[in-house]
Amino acid sequence: MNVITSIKLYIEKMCSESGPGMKTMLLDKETTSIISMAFAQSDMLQREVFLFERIDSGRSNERMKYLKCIVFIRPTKQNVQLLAQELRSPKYGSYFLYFSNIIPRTDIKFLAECDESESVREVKELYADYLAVNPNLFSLNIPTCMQRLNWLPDALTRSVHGVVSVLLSLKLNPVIRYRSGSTVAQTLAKQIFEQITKESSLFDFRTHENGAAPPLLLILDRRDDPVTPLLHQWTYQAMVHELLSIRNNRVDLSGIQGIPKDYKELVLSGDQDEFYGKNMYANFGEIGSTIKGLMEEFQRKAKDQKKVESIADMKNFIETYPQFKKMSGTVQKHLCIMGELSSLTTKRNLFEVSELEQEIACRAEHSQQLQRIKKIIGDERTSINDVIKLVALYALRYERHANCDTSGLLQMIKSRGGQTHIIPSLIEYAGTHMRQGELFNLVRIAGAIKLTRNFIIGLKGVENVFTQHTPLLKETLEEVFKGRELDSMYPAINSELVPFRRPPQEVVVFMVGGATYEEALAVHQLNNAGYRVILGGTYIHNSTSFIDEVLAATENMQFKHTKSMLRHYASSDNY
Amino acid sequence: MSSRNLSEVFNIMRNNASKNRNLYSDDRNGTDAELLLKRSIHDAEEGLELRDDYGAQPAWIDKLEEAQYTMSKIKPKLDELGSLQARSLLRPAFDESQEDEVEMEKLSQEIAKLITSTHRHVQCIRYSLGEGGKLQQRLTANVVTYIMLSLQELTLKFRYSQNSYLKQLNSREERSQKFFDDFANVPPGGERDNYVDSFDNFLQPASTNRSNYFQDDDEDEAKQNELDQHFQRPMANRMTEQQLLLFEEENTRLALNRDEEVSKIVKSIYDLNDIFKDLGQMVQEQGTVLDRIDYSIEQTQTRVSEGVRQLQKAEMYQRKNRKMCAILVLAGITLFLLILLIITKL
Repeated sequence: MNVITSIKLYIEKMCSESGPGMKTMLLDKETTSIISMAFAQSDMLQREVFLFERIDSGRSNERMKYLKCIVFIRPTKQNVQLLAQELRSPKYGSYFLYFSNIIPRTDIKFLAECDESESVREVKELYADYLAVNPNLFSLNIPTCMQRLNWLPDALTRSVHGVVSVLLSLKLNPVIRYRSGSTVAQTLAKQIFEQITKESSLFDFRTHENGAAPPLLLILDRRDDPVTPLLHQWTYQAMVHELLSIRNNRVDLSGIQGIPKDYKELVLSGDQDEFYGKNMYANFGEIGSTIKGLMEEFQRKAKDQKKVESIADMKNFIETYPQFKKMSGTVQKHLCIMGELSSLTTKRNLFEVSELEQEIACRAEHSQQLQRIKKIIGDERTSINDVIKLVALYALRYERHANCDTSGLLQMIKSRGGQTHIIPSLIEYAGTHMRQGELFNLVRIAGAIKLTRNFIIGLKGVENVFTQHTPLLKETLEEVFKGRELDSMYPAINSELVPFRRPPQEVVVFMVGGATYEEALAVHQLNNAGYRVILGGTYIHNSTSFIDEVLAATENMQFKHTKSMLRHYASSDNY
Repeated sequence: MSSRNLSEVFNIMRNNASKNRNLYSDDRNGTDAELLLKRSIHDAEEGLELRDDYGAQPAWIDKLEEAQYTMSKIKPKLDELGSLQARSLLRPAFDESQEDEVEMEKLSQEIAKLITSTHRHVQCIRYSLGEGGKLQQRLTANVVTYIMLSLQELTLKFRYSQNSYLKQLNSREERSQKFFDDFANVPPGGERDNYVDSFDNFLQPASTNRSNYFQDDDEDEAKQNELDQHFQRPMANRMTEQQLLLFEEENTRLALNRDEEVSKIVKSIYDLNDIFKDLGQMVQEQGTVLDRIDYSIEQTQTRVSEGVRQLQKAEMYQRKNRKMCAILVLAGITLFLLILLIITKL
């Protein structure tokens, strides 16, 4: 259950099947990202793939018959058309076609008719149709998947393909459960189920012979937990994503002053960068001390490097030089990032803001928190975006509270020149009417155990005020692994597979509306505890991208649940 | 990791399609002969096209193959060397192991030679970096990177194995040193000799070399000692003139030898320097954005679009020029005609 490895295996298969000799690779936009997340260019060079080209953009028409061409594309209509064009006038000696998903037979026929010169050697479906971010996290890179709170058709098909390919690459034929009451989750679950039944020969894995419970595919809705993406994060990977934003494992620092030229754009891949791989789940303080250790080691080595007096030293130098160079690259890279993170933290007053965010998310003390929010809004150091996030959290938490003063806060934001329309959109997107389950631990009789637990936590005090919040996903997964009754909240679509009160061994979670790195951390912890979970989402969100998605999803909509709020600030517009 | 093979389906469909095509064209163009004629012309064209430099292989392809071949030869040699070293380390150092040592020396020399020859191949490929179209240039650059990377790996492995072997050998020798009386009266210059010793190893990684030199040095020192003793002895016991001359000759021979070695050393240091310069660069790129596939594709795309823009600009300039030309020519003609008019009228 490691998504990076399975993508790597697929790519290795492609390279080895075409035999020795120089190769080129023809990719489309998405497969380019898929491959680059798994392999560095030097890795691919080792496999004799020397050229990379995009099928869908300006290509030169140099002919290179001495090259073998590995085509790895998604089986979309447009790609098939382009490939047919390429096959009609082949530029390369032979072609090896690999489709990242199930391709209709009609397309195969069309391509076969176009291949007049018979240069195609191999046609295969290899199900590497998702971006593997961490070993237990995949993304489909769909920044906005909804419109008017329903699926965008393209996003829906892409999600079906993505999830099906994950299942195929991990060889899982799962029980599909979806969040009841969420139309998006249900539609997706249905379509995935249809796809599985249609291609039942592909999903014929002999795994349940030993009586183990079948794996579980759990389709969740982001709207159950809108809080997690809004919170400020303090673990390394999540923090970098929140403050600097990671796109396909790349961090763009070009907008920041004082960054050396070579570090304008950085790669953060746990697979290629050992330091990052070890520390991406460590929190900010720990990273600080680890980097200090790394720094000291580096300085010691640098001192060793400096004294080249005798031939023996020279010899040593040459031997350790490549390693040294590599280390210096790593040190400098992470120092750049850490420097930027800490300067942003102080500049935006993030410690205070984050503490309050966590308090709102985890504890109910309305009047005190309201006072603190007002104080922070008044503070000039806090950026307007952080303020909006705070108010958004407040509005979500106290939506039904008797003294809820969201409109007042909205006016304060307005006076600071912020965009207030975000908050009603968010409530419309993920207000109480949408949510299910107890996101904020509201007191209920069923939550008696939870109440005691909270009480105990309250007595003990929290370890770290910045990381009190645990995502809802963790609770859900714990319940799944405990073998609790799931049918009421997460009905199964293919219930004939459901075993009697046995928890599944392997779980794939797919979050419609995007996952977050905080949830990836939760999944990582569960995996360390011996469970086998993989998390995926339409996108990996930070607060900015999440707000963008919310705005896109609620655009041109009739707002039903926030009329009072709207009325209020519409009237304030009139003033 | 499941997959589905569609090659057979594809092949069947392709065959069907070609059959259909032939049938269809049969119906349309009456005679077979005509068809045959057409075909052969078409084929000829294809053949010509292939012969043209249009799709010809770049010249360095055989160099790449040679480099790959030499590198593939290095690998088993490295393994062999490793096992030899392990064996000789396990055995106590009696002089009987001479044979092994000779073999080891030969092997490591061969490996070093192979590495340098691969390096030469890379240089050859590098000379043709600017040739051909854009795509081919990129191809060449990537091929160079590939060879350098694999070479780097091999070199590092080689150096590492040599080094660890040497270290182990040295530590063992140190341990055994106490047991040999001969070593007790090594003069203070011994340190310097050790020094040269590592020097030799550094260049010609054969460890046996080292011990050979060591023996040479020993002899040398022994003779020196003898010589010193000789002068301290009373006159009657001294050696004859002839013997002294012999000594001197021996010394010059040794000095010459050493001189040669040193010059060899210097040369190989230069080589090594070059190699490592390249390698250092390679390592630096790994793990940065330069090593990303999507980045390199983006880069070429921006370059392509920039090229298009520049072409457009150039076209514009050219057109402008043509206009200018026309204007000038016309102006010239008008002037000429004006003058003609004036002349004829006068």
